[in-house]
Amino acid sequence: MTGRRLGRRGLSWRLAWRLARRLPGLLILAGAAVLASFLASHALPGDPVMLMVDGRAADPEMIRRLREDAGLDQPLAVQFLSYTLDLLRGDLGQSLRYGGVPVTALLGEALPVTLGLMAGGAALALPLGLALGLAAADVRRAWPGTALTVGSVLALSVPPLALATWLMLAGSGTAPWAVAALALPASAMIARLTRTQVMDVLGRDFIRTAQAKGLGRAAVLLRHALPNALVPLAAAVGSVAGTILTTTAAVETVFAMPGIGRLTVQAVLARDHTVAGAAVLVFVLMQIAIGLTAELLIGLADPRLRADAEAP
Amino acid sequence: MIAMRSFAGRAGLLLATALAVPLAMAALLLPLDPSAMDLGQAWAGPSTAHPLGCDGLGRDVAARLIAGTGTSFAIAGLALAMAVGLGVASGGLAGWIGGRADAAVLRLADLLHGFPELSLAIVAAALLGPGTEAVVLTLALAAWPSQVRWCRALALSNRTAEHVRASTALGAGPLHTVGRHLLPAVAGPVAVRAALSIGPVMVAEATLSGLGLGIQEPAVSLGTLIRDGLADLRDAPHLIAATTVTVAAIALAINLLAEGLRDGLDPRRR
Repeated sequence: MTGRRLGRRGLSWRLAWRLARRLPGLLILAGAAVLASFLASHALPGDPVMLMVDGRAADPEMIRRLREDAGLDQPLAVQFLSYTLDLLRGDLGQSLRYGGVPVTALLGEALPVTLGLMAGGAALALPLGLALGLAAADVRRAWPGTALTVGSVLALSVPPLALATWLMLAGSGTAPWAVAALALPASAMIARLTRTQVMDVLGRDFIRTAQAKGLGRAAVLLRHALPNALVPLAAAVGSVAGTILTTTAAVETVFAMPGIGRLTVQAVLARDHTVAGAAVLVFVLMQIAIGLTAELLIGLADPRLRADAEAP
Repeated sequence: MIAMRSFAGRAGLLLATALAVPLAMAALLLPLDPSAMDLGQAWAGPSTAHPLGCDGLGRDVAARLIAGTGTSFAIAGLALAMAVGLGVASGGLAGWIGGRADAAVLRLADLLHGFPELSLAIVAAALLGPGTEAVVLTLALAAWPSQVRWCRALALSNRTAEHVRASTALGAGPLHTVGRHLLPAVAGPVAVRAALSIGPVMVAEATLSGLGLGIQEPAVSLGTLIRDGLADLRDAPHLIAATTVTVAAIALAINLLAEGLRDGLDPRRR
């Protein structure tokens, strides 16, 4: 790709508008996520106060006082309001399992681990997936397509926990193997999506024009087919973000990495409801972030959304 | 059969047969009880009585795999039946009526689609307690948005189809039109879409239950088997090897068959 193709200003108004238009929907989604996270941490079987005193002989007066302190004697609507206000101040409450540790501190410790894993996975999966998808978008021969189909079905059929276990047993259990366990299914998804979109684009008129003016196969694929296939690809990456998050949790669990996924799973199993509830919100926000990042990255490469395409 | 036209479909059928025949024979010939313990047989290797050996409590691994496969199929089937039933009702209605009902259903589908599986699983586990109900609800809710969009698109395209307009012009009421013309027209595509989702939904169940967010002991599913295997990783790596390879092979067979179905039905892919 030449320098001109990336555009001078990079971010165009058109791309900014595309992202801004999604804002109201995202705000509603965030609101719904806060409500779900409140429900998960408050309206549940099992009294958090009883969990806090943890079977120790507690006198009823102390339990009453703890309930009052935690605001648990208030109606649910009032509790939700104070939960939301606390959240806006950056306070997600305290972990029930690690007495008194703020949930935000636990999340702050775990988030970099998860983000590092995901960044490594993306750095491996994006180029690999795009390259395999392009290579398999070959209309002249059948076998690259068949090979990709069978290979990707295989990669997506192995449950992430199983794949992570195999890679851990085969390798040394170090971070690169964890990244591979995340990147393998992700690159299979990307490769499939890329192939479908590129094959779609390859049928269009401007491709025939490019071929007619004598461009080689590689140039047609890289300069014309791929950039035009990227926008639907971005939408598709956003829609598989949930699967990527689940896979990340599985990889963290198998490789015993102290990330958000492992923290959440342990919190749910230990009935640490404040942490589990906060995780509901965190995962929704992470899914939004994955979708927006994909859109932004691909928007920068898409010919119709680039800054230099705006000149009349 | 339409799925047999492609390589993936034929490979899927071959693999499914290769898995089903020994599993069915074992289920018929051996007195297999997935929860029967025999501590004398703990960590036992493969033998004629226990073709895949035993786990740390002396439970037969083959019996547990057969029972777990059944549970996982049932859960995936139940979750998809719920998602498809709700999807046909809400999506079909939205596409057929249009206007505000359509917009409202689409908004709801978009909203739910914004929740990753993990978030849904945590909320379901918190409200219902971790277990079968929670995991079925999670998988159904996760599958619903795409089913709704699909059913809506089908209803929308059928609403303006000529045979439907002819029926209305002849004086047929809405119930007759929907029952006689819309539902039969969408049944095939809806069923195919659901069949394509079985494999991914089973993998999702295996992951959620494997993490401990789904089916709980003493129930057995492919996910709890992976969970058991992970717990016994140091003592008996052959256990996790046997279960994960079987789980992967089952999912692979289903997904290959689905891929064959997709190839066979899509004229552009032939």
